[in-house]
Parts: sequence; structure tokens; C-alpha cells
Amino acid sequence: MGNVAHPDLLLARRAVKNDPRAWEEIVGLLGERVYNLALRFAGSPGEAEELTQDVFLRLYRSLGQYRGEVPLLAWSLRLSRNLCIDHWRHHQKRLASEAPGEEMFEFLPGRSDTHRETEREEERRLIHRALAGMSETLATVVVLYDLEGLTYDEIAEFLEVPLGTVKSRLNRARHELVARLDAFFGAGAASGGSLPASGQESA
Amino acid sequence: MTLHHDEDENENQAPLDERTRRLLENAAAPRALPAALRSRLLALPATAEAADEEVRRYERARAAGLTAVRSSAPLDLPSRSERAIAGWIAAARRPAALSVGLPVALRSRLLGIGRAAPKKPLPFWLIDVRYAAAACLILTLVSTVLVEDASALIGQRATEVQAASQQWQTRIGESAVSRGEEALAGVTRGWHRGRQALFSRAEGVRDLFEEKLRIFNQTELGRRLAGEPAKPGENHGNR
Repeated sequence: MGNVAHPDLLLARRAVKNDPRAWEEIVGLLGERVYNLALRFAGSPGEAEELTQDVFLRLYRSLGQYRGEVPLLAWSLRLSRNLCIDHWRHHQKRLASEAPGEEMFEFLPGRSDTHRETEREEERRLIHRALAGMSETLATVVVLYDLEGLTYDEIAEFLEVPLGTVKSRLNRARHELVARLDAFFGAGAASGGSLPASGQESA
Repeated sequence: MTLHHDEDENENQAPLDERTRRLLENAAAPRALPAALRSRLLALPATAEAADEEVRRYERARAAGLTAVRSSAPLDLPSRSERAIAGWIAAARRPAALSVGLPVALRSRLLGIGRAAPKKPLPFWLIDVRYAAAACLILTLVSTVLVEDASALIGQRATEVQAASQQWQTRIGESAVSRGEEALAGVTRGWHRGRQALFSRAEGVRDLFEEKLRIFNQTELGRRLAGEPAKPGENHGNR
């Protein structure tokens, strides 16, 4: 990027000067993305809303430090890192011991309309349970890469780790995720059963 | 989202089977930002500024010697700002009051203020007044309800009594008229009977009189008075 500041810098400056339209633009620009990220790390939509508010509060207090080196979204994700990780740690035990709250699936379209939708709910539940059983470092990479669609660079910046570490973690995380899903489907257990620990380690 | 990554990014990664790939894509489906959350986010600067201002006031007041909050001594709150601070403290003592729409970080900060300021008990007279006011309010409400019910009941009963009274009046009137008519008819009948009796009695008297008169006229005195000659040997001294 060099010395050229990102166009978001002007927006941030306006928001710092208490321009309500600027803040509205920021909410429109980042709100859905931050909320979805929060949904991955929080246990329920309610907690995701709290996490989203905390991220935006931190963003609001830190906007004056934004220099426009990176897009505001990436900068905001970096800001939200500790909050997200804290939430993940806080709720991991609960996620591992029980299925995500029913409200997690209430936002799905046609929740009770078709058999297919019911299947999708179960699949979402399955993914969350599998991730909850994984270590924080591996699960986080899967969440960011496979669920949130961040690039390696963005994940490296988010986690403050080297690029190679991201790749290796993702490799191991996918192995473990597949193994957990295989164990689940192989066991033929009904939903609600706990997933066995992975027996497949990365090379 | 997996599909959105470049192919070169996916290289050297553990291959994902179709099932895992599908599960991840399903779980990655984005959700829209809830409207209520969006409203709260838009209002966040104002909320944060207000909370920060109250925290600053509280800290200034503490720095200015308002440490009496920590003791059990009565707290004098001369200024409006200090009363506002006390309001925040009171609100912070009730976490439920802060649980709606306030970010966790702000809530924690305000709750921290609440914990820094021990709860000061209310004066006993204020508690009594409070209970008395509550009791008066309850009594007023109860009595209002009871009086309204009683009024409604009395009004209903009065209407019923009035209707019954009118019915009775009607019945009594009808009965009186009926009896009056009967009495009048009786009187009329009696009058006719009396009249007939009187006439018949008068006729009897007349008949009797005429009979006596006929008998009298056949006597000597009667003949004399009538100018007829007396028959020989006839008793003059007739009755």
C-alpha cells in the first residue's frame, strides 16, 4: 500500500469528529461482517450481539488511532481479535458440553418448512459441536478461513502469527475436523451424542 | 466461503471431501444484521459518551472528597451532578437495569462504580414513609375498586327496586280500581235492590192502606164520613 492512505481513513476521521453519518456508514460497512464473525465465536445470537457491541465500542474508542494502512474492516477485525478469542474461550466448554442454543438456528429461512431445512440445522449443529471439541488455535483458523472466508494474510494479521503458521494450522485443523465428522457419521450416532476425540493427527 | 478462496490458497491443504465441504458452506451462510442491534450500534457513540461523562463526574466527585460514599455516614448530595452520579451508582447496583442494550464493557465499568460505592441504607423514616405511601396507594386502589363495585351494585339494586315499585304500584292501582269497580257495582246493585225493596214496601204499605181504608169505609163511621146512611143495628163504635 505504501504511503497511500486507504479511503476509509477519511470516513474514520469524520466519525472521530462526531459526524453521525460517518458512524452510520461505518455500521453499514462493518456491521454484518462483525456480527457474523461474532456469531462464530459466541455461543448464541444474544451473546453475538453483545460481542458485536463490544467490538464496535472498542472501534469507536480507537478510531482516532486508525492511520489508513489497511482497510477499516481488516483493522476492525484486528481490534476484535482479543474480544473474539475471549468469547471463544469463555464458551468453548459450554459448546462442547451441549449443542448450540436453539436460537442459533432461528434466523435460518424456512426453519420448519421443509425436511431439508431441518437437515441443514442439524448440519450446522454438527459443525459447531465438532469445532467446540477442537483446540482453540485450530478451531479459530477453521472459523476464520472456512466460515468467514478470510485470506491467509488476513488470518495471519488477525491472529498475529506468521503466514506459514496459518497454513499449517489450517492443514491440521481440517484433518481433525474431517476425522471428527467421519467419527460422527461412522458411529451413526444420533444428534446430541458427543463427538469422539480425533485419532488422526497431522503429518 | 471455502469456494471463495483462490485455488492457489487451497493448495497444499488437507483435501476436503464433499460432505465436509458442504457442511462448512452451510454453516458459513451469512446472517443479516438484526435491526435492533443495528439501532443500538448507531446509538453507541451517544451511549458511550453519556456513560463516560457520568464516570468522569463520579471520579471528579471522589477526587473532590466525596469519599463519604464509602462510609456509612449520611451522604449529602448538594449538587445536581452528584445526584446524577448517585443515580448511576444506584443503576449500577441493579445489573438487570443495565442488561438491555448496553455493551458489556460499558456495563462492567458502571458496575465497577457500583461496587466501589457501598450501599447506603435509607433512613428509617424514609422507609416508613415509603411503606406508608405504598400502603396508602394500595388502600386507595382497593377502596376505589370496592366503592366503584358497591356503587354499581347499589345503582343496580335501586333500579331493580324502582322497577319493582312501579310494578307494585301498577298492580295495586289495578287492584284498587278493580275493587272500586266491584264496590261500585255492589253499591249499584244494592241501590237497585233497596229501591226495589222500597218500592215493594211502599206498594205493600199502599195495599195495606187501601185495604184498611176499604174496611173503614164499610164501617158506619166510614159511611157517615162518606155521606152514606148508616145501616140499622150497625155498631157505631167501630174500631
